[in-house]
Amino acid sequence: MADKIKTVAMIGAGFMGSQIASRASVYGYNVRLFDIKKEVLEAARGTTKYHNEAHFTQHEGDPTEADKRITFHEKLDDAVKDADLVIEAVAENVEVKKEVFSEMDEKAPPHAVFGTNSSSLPVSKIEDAVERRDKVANIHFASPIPERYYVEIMRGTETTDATISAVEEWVRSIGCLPLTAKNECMGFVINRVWRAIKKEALKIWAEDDADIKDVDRGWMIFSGMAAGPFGAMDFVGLDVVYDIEMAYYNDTKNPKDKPPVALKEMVDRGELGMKSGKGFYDWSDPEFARSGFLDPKKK
Amino acid sequence: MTEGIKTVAIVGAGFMGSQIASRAAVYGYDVTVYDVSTDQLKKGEEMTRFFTEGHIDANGGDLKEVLKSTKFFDDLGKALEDADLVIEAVSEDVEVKKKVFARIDEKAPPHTIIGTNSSSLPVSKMEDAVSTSRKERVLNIHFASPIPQRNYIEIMGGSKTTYDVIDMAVEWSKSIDCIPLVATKESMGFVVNRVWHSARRDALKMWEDGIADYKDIDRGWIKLTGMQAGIFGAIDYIGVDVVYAIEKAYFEEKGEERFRPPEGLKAMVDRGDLGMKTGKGFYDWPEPEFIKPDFLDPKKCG
Repeated sequence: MADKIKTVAMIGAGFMGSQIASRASVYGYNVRLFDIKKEVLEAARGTTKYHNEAHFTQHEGDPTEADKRITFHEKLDDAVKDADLVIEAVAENVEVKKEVFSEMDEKAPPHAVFGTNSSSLPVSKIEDAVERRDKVANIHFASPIPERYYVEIMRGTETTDATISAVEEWVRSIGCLPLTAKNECMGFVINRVWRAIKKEALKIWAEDDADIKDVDRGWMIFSGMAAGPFGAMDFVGLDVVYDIEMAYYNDTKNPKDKPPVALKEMVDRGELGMKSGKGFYDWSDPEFARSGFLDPKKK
Repeated sequence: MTEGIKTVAIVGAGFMGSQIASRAAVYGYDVTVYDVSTDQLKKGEEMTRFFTEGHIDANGGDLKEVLKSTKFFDDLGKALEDADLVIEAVSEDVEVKKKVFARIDEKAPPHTIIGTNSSSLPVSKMEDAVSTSRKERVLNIHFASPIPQRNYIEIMGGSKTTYDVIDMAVEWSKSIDCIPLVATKESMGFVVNRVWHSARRDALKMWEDGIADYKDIDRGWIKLTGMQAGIFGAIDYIGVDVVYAIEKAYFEEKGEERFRPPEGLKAMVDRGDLGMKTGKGFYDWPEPEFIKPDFLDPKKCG
């Protein structure tokens, strides 16, 4: 059925939206990009170009051909009116997503499949906003897409196997590994494993069981990753991390899933990590990124 | 060299014991190694030599000198008589470790520090096996594997361990070019082991609940982290029996249902599907699917 998907509409042209748009375009799809904020849409012209160029430094082909396949729209209607697949990557907020899904449902052709790139919200929490409940799915990308080329897929309560197959096929067609959750669960397939890591790290921090830099050192050496859990959380944004933890907590209502109060306090103080200059690390010169961080002699 | 620690004794000449012995020796310590089985002691000597040669090939050094200062004993008393630090790396079983701690306590000089390389058991579970004065000198000293690539040591005190002893362990760790990661209070899994455990726990639950194909979990993990193997590949590598024992230890410590190891894992152990060491676990060894390029090829996988 992926041969029936020709045009992809991307709702939300931010950090992930522009990456997904780029990925689809370099693999031959027509992409219609929309954002409610004009400045975000304009910025996406630059970021999609950047991602396309980067892709073709590793692959044969012409980035300008891919660039031409992306069009930029200030109205949602224009973006979705001929779309076969619509992916939403707006704020991590269930009410906002429901509103957007509802509009998509009104304005997109009846056959179009809808995906949400949400990192935590199962599509079943959004599906009530649409009629086409057989055609909705979580379609969750990781970042950066070239290195982390997997997409986590999960159904809603009425999603058909045909829809899931079509999504899996489309994911393969853009050079990504489909990781499908067989049953609904928070965090899909691998996202939830990463969340388990964050949760444990936050517990260590909240209970002062170890220096967070030691947690990061250990993780960086163990895994070879460029950052440990605290560096990674700062990178993503502590507000986003907090929202995701709250989503898990709201799902289970288990007090053990509640994020530490101290995390909320950091968010309230505006210590959001890289984007605000300070989080667990000071981003003018984050310690974990300096040479010597992993040198036993320099500790 | 850490002032005060000159001779290091390793009790248990297995895979980790041999790595630790080699590491200490190549960084200039006099090392003694003991194993209750003369057969394992012999194997340990070969393994230790292998690791030492590897280090010296990569970093230089005098192989003859290092091998000379690594001595193997089938008599525990002889192995311990000059030891300043003893590291126990026997099986992951609290009763076995308690017996070993008691024997070490008897035979080692009063100043000797006793460390356990246990991956999960806090030393407080073994400390009652030693004398009152020794209780101040016991701790968790947990290495990762392989030591050259994972050069960190997780350090955690028991209920009576003094700060001086922790500091000595920290300095000793640096002297063998390993980053000391100190758990400031007792925590199951120390500093980073517990983070890895949380990921593994979650992956095992997903497998148990049939939420996703474990190969997909591994695909995601490999791409997320850049590691060579996913969580289930790593379980096979370490040994399904070893992982089951560790998971059980967490369950027994925490007492919460969500830590109970999956029935399916126990079934694998009972069947003898222990992973790499038996040729079959979650994957077939020695050529598990995940090392082949198709595993991560979107067009060919699944």
